[in-house]
Amino acid sequence: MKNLIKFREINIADAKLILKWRIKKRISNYQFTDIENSVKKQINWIKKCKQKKDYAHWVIMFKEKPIGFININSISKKNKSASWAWYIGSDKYVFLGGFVLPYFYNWVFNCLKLKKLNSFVFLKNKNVIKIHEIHGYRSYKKKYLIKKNKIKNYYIKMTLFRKDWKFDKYKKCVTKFSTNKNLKY
Amino acid sequence: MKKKINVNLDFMKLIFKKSINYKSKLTMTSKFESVPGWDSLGHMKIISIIEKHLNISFEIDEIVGVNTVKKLIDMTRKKMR
Repeated sequence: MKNLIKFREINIADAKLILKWRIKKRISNYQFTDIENSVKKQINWIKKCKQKKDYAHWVIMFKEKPIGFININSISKKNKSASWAWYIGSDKYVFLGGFVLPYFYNWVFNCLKLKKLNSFVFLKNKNVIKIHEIHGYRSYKKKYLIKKNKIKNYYIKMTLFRKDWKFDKYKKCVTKFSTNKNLKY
Repeated sequence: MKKKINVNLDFMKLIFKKSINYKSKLTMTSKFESVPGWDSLGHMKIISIIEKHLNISFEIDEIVGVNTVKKLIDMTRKKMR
C-alpha cells in the first residue's frame, strides 16, 4: 500500500503556510514561545534553521497536501538522544495527530539509531500527554514553570525510550525523512 | 458459539460512547469536526476500541483517511471480510 503520510523538508516557500498554522490559538497556546505575524521573520527563521546542525524540520503531508509541522532538535551524539515537536496545522486533519508519529519514531530509532526521544509538554495539553502515554512515553515527576505573556504554565518532560517503542505494532510505518543535513552518527 | 457483531450505526454509537463518552446524536454522515471529543486522541481511542471489540488490527494507512462515521463502518466491514 502506498504511504498516504509523507514528510517533506521545509523550504522558504513554506514560510507563509507555517506561519498561518503557528499563530493559530489552538497551536500557539501550547508553544513555549509566541511569534510575530511576519512572513519576513518566518523566512529568516527557516534560513537560520538551515544552519543548525542538530536540527531538522519537515512539513507533514497527507495525500500530497501539507497538513502539519514536525521537527527534531537538540540531537546529541553523546547521549544518543533528541527532542522534537509537532502540530497538525490544518483544522481538517487534526484527528490525524496521533497517527503520523509512528513514522517519525521508526525513523528516529531505526535510521538515526537514537536511544531516547524527549518531548516537553505543557501540563494543560492533556491530549498530547495521553497520546504520548499510548505510544509508550515515560513521564518525569518534575514540573517546570514557564511564564508566557505573564501567564504561568507548567510543563513536564516525557521520554520515549527505544526499548519501549512498539516496533512490531508499527513496523509498516516506514517512510523517508529527506534532509540535506547529515543527522546520522 | 461466538456472537456475530453487526457493524452498523448502532455499533458505532456504542463505540463512540465507550471511547470518547459521546452520547449525543450520531449519524452516518457525522464528521470528526462535528463530534466533540473526536480529535487526535479521540481518533486513537475510537480505533483502539473497535480493534479490541472485534479482535482486529488496522494499518495506519487504512485509518488515516477515515473522518466520518460511514467511512469508519465501511473500513471496519472491509477488515472483517
